[in-house]
Amino acid sequence: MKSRILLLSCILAIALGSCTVKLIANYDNNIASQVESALKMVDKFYLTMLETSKNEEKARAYTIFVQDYIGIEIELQSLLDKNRVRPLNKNSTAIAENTLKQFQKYKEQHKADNYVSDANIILNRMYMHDQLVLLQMGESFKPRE
Amino acid sequence: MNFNINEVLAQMTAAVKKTLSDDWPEVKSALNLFLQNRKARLELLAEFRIKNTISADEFKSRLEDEKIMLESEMHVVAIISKSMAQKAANAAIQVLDKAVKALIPL
Repeated sequence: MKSRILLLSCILAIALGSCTVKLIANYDNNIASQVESALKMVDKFYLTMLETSKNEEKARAYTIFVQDYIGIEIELQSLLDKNRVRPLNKNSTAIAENTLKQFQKYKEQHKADNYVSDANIILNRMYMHDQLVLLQMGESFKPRE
Repeated sequence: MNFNINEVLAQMTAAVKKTLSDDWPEVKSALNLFLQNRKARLELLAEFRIKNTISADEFKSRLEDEKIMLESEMHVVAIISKSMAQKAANAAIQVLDKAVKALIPL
């Protein structure tokens, strides 16, 4: 009887030793750094647009800003791709997807109107900034092991 | 040495409680940040609309953006919940593992 209990204890110990609950991807420092750099790119882009161009159609033409749009969209797409391939990471992937979609929406609006008002630049920056903060926050809450 | 299941269960519960209470201040500050950011956005949005700085259509479009923001916030809450649940479950398993291993002679 004693040897059976000992055997059961051993089996339980081995099972527990290899047993950890895994519900979410671990924290990734490279992704966190990339989010931070995307956040700076977005802030710089909208602040530059607001501060260095006059609030008139000619100065805010889409073509003037197209290179920056491309650069930021590539960065946000890369963040989405990197999040997508990680297992147990569907929530961060969804946030990255929302961030990219929102940026594309603002880009398409600019392209269609060929102009963005001061108010809309301020709001675009605010929404993009807050989306990226959410992506950053989501990453920072992941386990670091 | 006996394996006291009640004592082990009490220790496991304490481990879960400690993990959850350690993480609570961070959760609270995240939820506060959501609220502060939303307040700032909605205040500005309302001001721009009242002053007619943005059109009715632009205002409507921004409300759609708010829905997407809310969805992203819920994803952050899900990340926090999963992370806390994982930590708490592993802390409880560790307690049980330690208790069982203590009974096995080397």
